[in-house]
Amino acid sequence: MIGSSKEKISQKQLTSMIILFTIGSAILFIPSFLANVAKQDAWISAIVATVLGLFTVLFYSKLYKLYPKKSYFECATFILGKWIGGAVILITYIYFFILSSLILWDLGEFLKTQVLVQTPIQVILILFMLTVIYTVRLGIENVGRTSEVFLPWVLGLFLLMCVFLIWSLEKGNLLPYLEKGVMPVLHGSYYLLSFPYLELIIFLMITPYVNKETKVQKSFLQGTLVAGGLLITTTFLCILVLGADVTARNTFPVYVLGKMVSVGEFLERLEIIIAIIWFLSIYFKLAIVFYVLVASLSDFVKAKDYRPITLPLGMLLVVMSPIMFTSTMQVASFDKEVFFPLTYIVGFFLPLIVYIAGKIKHKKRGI
Amino acid sequence: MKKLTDWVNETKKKRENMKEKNKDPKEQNEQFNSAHSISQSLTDNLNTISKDLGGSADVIIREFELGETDQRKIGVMYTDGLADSTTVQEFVLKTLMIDIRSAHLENIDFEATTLELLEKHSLSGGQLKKVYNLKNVKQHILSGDTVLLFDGETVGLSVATKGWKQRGVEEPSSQTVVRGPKEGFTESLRTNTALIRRKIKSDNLWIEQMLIGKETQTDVAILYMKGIANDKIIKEVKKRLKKIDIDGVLESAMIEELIQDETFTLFPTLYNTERPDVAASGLLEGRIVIIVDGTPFVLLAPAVFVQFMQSSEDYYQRSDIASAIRLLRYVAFMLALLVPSAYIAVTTFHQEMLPTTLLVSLASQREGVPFPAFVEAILMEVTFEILREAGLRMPRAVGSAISIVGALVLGQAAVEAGIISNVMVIVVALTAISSFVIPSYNLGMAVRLLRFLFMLLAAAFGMYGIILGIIILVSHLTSLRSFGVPYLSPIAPSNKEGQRDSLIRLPIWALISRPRLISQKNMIRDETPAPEPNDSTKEPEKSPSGESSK
Amino acid sequence: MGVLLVATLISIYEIPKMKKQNMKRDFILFSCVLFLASTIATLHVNGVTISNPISGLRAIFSPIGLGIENFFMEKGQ
Repeated sequence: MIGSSKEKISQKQLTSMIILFTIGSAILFIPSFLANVAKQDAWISAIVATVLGLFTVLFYSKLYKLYPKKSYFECATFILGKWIGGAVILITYIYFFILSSLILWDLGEFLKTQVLVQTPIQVILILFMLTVIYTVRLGIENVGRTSEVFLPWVLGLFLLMCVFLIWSLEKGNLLPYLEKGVMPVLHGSYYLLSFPYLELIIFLMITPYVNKETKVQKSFLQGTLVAGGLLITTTFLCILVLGADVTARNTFPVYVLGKMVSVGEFLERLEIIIAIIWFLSIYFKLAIVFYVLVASLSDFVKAKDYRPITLPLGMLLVVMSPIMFTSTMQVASFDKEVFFPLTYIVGFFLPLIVYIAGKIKHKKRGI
Repeated sequence: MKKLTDWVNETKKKRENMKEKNKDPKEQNEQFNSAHSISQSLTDNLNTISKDLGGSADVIIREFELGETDQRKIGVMYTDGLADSTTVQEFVLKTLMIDIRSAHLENIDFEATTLELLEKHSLSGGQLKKVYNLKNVKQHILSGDTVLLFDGETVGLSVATKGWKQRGVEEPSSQTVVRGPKEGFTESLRTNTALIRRKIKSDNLWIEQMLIGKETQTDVAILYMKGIANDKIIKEVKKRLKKIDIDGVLESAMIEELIQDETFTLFPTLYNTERPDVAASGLLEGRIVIIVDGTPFVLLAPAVFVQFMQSSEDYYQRSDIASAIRLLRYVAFMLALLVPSAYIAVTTFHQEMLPTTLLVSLASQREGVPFPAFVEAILMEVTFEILREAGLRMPRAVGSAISIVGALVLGQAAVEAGIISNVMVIVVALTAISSFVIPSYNLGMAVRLLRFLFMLLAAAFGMYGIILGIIILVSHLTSLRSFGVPYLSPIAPSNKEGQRDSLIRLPIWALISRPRLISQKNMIRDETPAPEPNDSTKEPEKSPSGESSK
Repeated sequence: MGVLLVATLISIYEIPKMKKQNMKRDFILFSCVLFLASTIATLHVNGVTISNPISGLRAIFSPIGLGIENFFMEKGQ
């Protein structure tokens, strides 16, 4: 088990962390990604990907059940031995590191272009990182509790948003269905499956803290279902309100969606709601990834406590993020060329290997 | 008066002594062999005590004789003002000097010493205690008891004669209610425990008492419901109280600061109240009540955040109304915390968020204002805090002057002079009113301070800063614990049963169990079925008409 | 300069705690990561171009990624 073993997460906390993690950063980018390839059928690919995502998390919970008391990294070394397991861990760790700098970049990009145009990006990133470090130092249990506090807010604000948008729906935007066949839809699903759902592999690192083993699968399914519902709804709304073209052209279509709200004469421009939802969720996403980063690193060298390295590692992230990711274009091509395949490898093939090897090991022992 | 009693005393004593003269002084079992043990010589004892107390004027030491021939000497000591003078007169001096004469002493064991004789037959004071050393003697004297010392005895007797001028039970000034009991705690520990006992007559209500403070020797009582309160927490409270090693405890706040879990937080992790009904309901929920002698504010532990947003009146009003008011309080809490910072953020960073008409009117108002919104807000908020503090500390008679200065000079004149905008006045007024809605003064203070932090964040980073601040605030709150109980308890970690009485209050019949993390045994507190208006109430419908026809 | 200042501040904040609890491994890890972070930061601030670690990954993965993209694109058309 990574980190200190005293901490305990309840099933509900795990669920809310999964929900916030899944919608974190995805909710802002995904409609654009999907609309780019699947056009007006983006919402169909969202549904397909969510169904696939449910199967993925089902697989994850099976993997968890092999050794409920061990984190994914511990499982890997235990099952595959020091070297192969070590390789799996190394790849996964690099992936987590890239993921966290990508999250940080997402945040910086959004704030720089949309909200705080004049503030230097380093300041924004440092401030955000400090917040994350503060909460991570308080422990994963605390992150879980905080997520429990914020989840109703996020859901409530989202619902509010949906209600406000009812007035500006245009059904025509959905037509025609499946204009170019199934392939673009699947292409979109390919993106969506990797972007939030396969990233959920990270939760296998913190599931050992969950106080009830039997409830983990339920949490995984519930969380993914709710988050998937949110993502589908968001995509659906984007297509309905903005149309496929506008959705595809904007980097942050949901934010534009917020600007479209106009109820009566007084309720206008509620993009702040979107900003808050997204901001809270991305914060949790980074907090969870960052926790896993520091905890597994300190666990690797058998250090007593993960807290001392939070500050240096946070500093490293803040420094590396702008070096690794320089522009929107570069990140978009990076996503497509490197990150999505890498996600499939880390989130699907490697765990599959671990799982199969683990099953074989179980059987051997059984005989 | 005193001389008269003296005289009466002496004559009486002479008679007494006749009866006592055959008795042999018994061997003493010395329980405390400390350096301060009571010596055989009364005069020595009295001299030592007098010297140790520096001959303080309020300590009265008297020496007189019982009996005529044997001249058995006796010393009486008490503190004037702390000991109730009538009790001393009636039950100690009068007994020793007059009543002893008429005592029926036929069946007395003649082997007994003066001490035993007095203890068993003469002294009619309610509470008698033996004291074995001079330290205890002094302690008893200084806490209002009357101590008797006898010549040739190394054991003294202490008679409970505590009774001093104290405030009566009045309406509490800090937590007022429209409906509900109007009595409040007083400065006297005994009165306070009695006020709680009057509400809970259960034999499960246990009271433990200890002395804290090397110099002040303050009585501190721990009250809990045996079988409801969590034993671990009781143990922890006692452990922390025993650890305290301080010279004086003057208010429960000092105890609070010494036993709380986390020092560096703005949020109170112990609840204090002046109301016996709040303390009693806390006891019934499994909390532990700490009463400190000398202050009407008793402490409740463990405390959770939602508790500070509740008023005892919530339970005395209809549940739907109480729920609405509770929600209103949370809204007020947010307003008090965030309105000035939101104003700063919107006017400096996010003007586009406002509807155009509002933006225009806001801009035209701010046109003449020389300061940026942040300076404007800080200026007004600080002024308001100063006004508020001044209103608290100044003599009540000049209170109205403050309101004139505040409302007219600083509000209207500042706007007219163009130093601040009208909107800013509204913002300050809104925060001020909102912050008064928070039922707990401690929490209100925390909000007052946090407001300024949020204003700083808003000035630097707009909404982004505010949201970051909220995240930090919430994670700080979730990390807090009060005696091991998470501070945001029924919300995070969430507990469905607990949430029935946190943000809202369900009807009392629905509040089935006690808070889970606070009390761990005997969880069910309420088994009243939900009222069903259809069964029995329908029948009497006829009877009133029948009765009226009679 | 700013970077070094931050690094020293972090050290001042963390090192006494670690000494107190005698955490040797923690200290080694801590100093490694901090050293790495501050070196990169200093270089970056001074305008030294640091080769993007991603480019290595890109070399490995872009055939796969582009292959998948093309697969979807071709089938779609």
